[in-house]
Amino acid sequence: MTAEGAPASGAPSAGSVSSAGSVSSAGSVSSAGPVASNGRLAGAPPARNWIAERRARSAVLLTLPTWVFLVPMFFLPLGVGIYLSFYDKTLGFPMEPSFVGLDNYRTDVLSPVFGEALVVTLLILALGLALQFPLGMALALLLHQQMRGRGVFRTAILVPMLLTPVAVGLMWRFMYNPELGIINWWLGVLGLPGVDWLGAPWPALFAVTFVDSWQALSLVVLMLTAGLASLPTSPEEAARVDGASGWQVFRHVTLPALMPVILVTLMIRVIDGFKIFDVVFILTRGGPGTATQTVSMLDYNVAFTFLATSRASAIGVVLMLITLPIYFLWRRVSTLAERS
Amino acid sequence: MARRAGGRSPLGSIGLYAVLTVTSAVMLFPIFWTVSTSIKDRVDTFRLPPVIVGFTPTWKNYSQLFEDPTFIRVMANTIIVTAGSTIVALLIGSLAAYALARAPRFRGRRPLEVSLILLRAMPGVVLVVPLYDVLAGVGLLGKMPMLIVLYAMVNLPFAIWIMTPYFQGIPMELEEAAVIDGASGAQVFRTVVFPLALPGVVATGLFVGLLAWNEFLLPVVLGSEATKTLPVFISGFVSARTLDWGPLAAASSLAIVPIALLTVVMQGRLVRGLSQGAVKG
Amino acid sequence: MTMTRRSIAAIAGLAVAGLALAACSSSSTSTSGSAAAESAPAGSSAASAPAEATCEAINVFLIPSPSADAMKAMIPAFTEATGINVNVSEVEYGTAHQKALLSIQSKQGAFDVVQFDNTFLAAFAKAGALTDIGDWAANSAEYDISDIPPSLQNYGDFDGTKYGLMLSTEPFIQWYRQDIYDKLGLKPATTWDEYKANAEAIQKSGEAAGQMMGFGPNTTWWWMQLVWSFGGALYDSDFKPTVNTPEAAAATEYYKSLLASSPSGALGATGDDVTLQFVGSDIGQMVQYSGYAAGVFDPTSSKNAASIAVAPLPAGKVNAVELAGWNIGIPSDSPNPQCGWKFLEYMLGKSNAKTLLENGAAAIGRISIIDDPALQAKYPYLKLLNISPDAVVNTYPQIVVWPEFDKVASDNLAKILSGEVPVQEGLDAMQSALEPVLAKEPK
Repeated sequence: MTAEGAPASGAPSAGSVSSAGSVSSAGSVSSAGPVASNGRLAGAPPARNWIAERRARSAVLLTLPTWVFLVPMFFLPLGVGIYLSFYDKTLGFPMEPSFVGLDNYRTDVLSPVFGEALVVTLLILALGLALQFPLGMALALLLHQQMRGRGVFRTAILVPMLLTPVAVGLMWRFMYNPELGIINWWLGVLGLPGVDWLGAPWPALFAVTFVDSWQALSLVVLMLTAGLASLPTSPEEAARVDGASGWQVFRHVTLPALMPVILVTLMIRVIDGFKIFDVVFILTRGGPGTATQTVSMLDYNVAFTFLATSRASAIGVVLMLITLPIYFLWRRVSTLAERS
Repeated sequence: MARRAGGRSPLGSIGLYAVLTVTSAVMLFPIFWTVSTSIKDRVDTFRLPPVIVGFTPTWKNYSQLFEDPTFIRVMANTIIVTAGSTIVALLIGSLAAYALARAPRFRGRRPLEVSLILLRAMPGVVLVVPLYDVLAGVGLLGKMPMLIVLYAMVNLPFAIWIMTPYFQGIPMELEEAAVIDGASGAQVFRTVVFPLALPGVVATGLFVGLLAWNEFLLPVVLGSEATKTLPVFISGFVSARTLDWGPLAAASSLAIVPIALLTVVMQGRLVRGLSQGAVKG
Repeated sequence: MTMTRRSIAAIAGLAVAGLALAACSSSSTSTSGSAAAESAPAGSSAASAPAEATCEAINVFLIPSPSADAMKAMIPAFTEATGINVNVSEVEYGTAHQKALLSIQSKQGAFDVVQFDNTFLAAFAKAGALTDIGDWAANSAEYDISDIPPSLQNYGDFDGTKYGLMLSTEPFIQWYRQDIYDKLGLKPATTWDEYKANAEAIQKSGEAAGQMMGFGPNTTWWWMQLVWSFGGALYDSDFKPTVNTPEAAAATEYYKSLLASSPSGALGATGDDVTLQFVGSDIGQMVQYSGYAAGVFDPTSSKNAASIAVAPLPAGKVNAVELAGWNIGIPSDSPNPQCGWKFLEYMLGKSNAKTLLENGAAAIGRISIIDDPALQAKYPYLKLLNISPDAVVNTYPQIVVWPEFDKVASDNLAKILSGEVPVQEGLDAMQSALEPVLAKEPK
């Protein structure tokens, strides 16, 4: 990288930069939809290659500080994690850590506990998506209507999105309290039996999903309304003129056009859903039993409750491997989003 | 373009308003409940049926918090780590974002993109477990400067992705004009590019700041009492033998009310910035 | 472009400086710490040392709790009396023990006094993290160990060595609502059968929920107690689990049967929720550590404060009493162990025991405290700390793998209590899940 980072001395020749710069204008700032991140100079003639080279060289320099952060604080720990996963380091054990090969993977990854945690994580994720997307789509369509007070409703629905998960989690915990909480009291008013929200396995799973989805719904509505706003109206109008019903227009015109935005939103939710930690930590700590113990919660427990650093590292390495394919998903989705 | 209301029946309008009103109420209730609990007396907190309105408000829970030197330090820590890490993330991130916006191909672009995506997608514990070991080994556990740079790093992907389109949106001609006038590369960045991208940088700072404000796993594992932040302080209420929800609700309110207000006030900018950044992040 | 490079360098430098700054601030403490730690004397030679100890300041590691708050309130007086300044570091329970252990194991010499939960005594002791304070405790007139009942004297001992003093004495006791008992003509139970009969009578009367125990994340607190009361044990001397024996099964059946007369929240209740619900709603009786007394009897937080009374724990086949409570000791890497001991003597000694209690700490079971009539009138639970000599006092299992044992046991109990699996089947599953956990216990 040092060779590439050699200084590009001297002022760039203005005239040629000018012509290269006017090749295309990048995605406009005001557009709410996905924005292309490259392709600017793709069609530049060979004679102009040296401009691209100079840009490339300064780009290497400009991204250097980012690497200064990533190498010691991201890659080094990941490497240490891989290393530790082959040892038996446990805090508080008197003996020196020794090499144990794949033992940690055998005992902690190929265990029903890890499998259960994976299922719980995916279950919360799937339940959440099933809640957030139909509801989010419906709300986005409603908010897309021309009406008085639209901004007020939109604001109200967006507010939960960025609230501190720890703080709202704690208040939900209070509201879920079976004896003193307001949710069971309301159920009582409606003549329904109270639910032991955080004490029974399925209710606890729903309770966690609901709090997470409460915040996520805001993001989904935000993304979909922005997506709807960016769609051209002419195809919809044309379909309507042709006599299509509201549902047909949505199903065959709006939905396909919105697909890139939906996919991007879906991907964000899948990533964040897989990472879920704060809300679980505050609401249930993974309980009752292991009913809401997600992979992050399990890894945390092994590391910081059992003090078993090496075993937690093995789980971490597997979670890392599970995350890797997301990169390819990401590329596919962003290519799709850019094409639209 | 929003659909015209022309085709809607009065009944449809009522239905529309009813659905949106109920949804808004559900979305906002937990916030309302947090704030109202924070100004209730202990006894009112546990009263059944729940006291929704008509209790005598008390500021006791807040004054109790602000009389506690620990809490003052917690607030100061939260502000320091949020502001510090946001500035660092913006400085580092804007350079990378500028590079990504202007150079389609350069050595290390692909690895950088992969790294940022993985950093964004990987569950935090994966990083935090070995980091704990590493930092403990070199004696950096629970040090504020360390937390600031770590916060900045985990928010870098988001910062870079939000800023990139802002830099792309700056017409190249303006830069070229400055170059003709004899400005150096850095001068161009400082006097032309950065001022034009400033609204974007500010919006990015807002999001990154909010993420830092909310960050929990990093400070709870890698921090210490001296670096305790608001989310860590609030989480302490779960395990503390406290029989009192008032101070808890007051601390929670102090965490979330500024964000809620910010969301309301900065709505337009938030929506625009987030929909850009979120697409990439 | 040259300017750009300079600004990059500046930013990169900033990051590096940030790291370096953090490194410096820590290295200064660690060098002074380790140097002093090497010169720290071991227990025996230090028996008379406290008198000659001089130091300007000590560092104390506390875990947020009423006991920690009470000690903090006494620090100014301590500084005035001894000339020793005290720097307090408080770390939340959730990560406190691993942070303390890490700090001590890396010999940073960061602390001279460390508060820890008794459940971590084994981990700390086996890691060599604590100083043997047996001789100091035995020879200190100020601490006066003879003022502590024999059954409580070794709370803080591991394998016959005293690593910690008892910072709070928190046995399980019975709490009940005098008003409800009077109305229904009930008397506090002396056996577990009576306890259950009381609970069922209250539940049936419709006055209140019958009883409260935790069946949630802290379920082992109560389950363990019942296993001991029913004559069972958690594991044998070879570290083989014994959780599916007939005694353990009978205890578990009994425990599960109490759910029928417990309020709806019991299944998910944490240890704290148990108390919270008992003081916040109508529940006839509860089994809970005495350490919660300050909150239970505080009328500003407990709407039933005036009508709550206490009684000793019911007995089963064995008159077992589970004893919890904080320990406090001196880290093995302490630069100033003698001054640390001075702090312990002052805070936990006989003459300040009353002040500590009145500052809100959970009481230490000193004879001079629990037999004081004036204090007894003020703190009705005090006499219950004088655990009957024929009772078997059980602390939490003193094993390093306890956190994982606890988690595995409570995960399996959750399945039993929710009815997912029958009792015996669930205990068999717990037995086989605990075997590999106990096998990891370092011998």
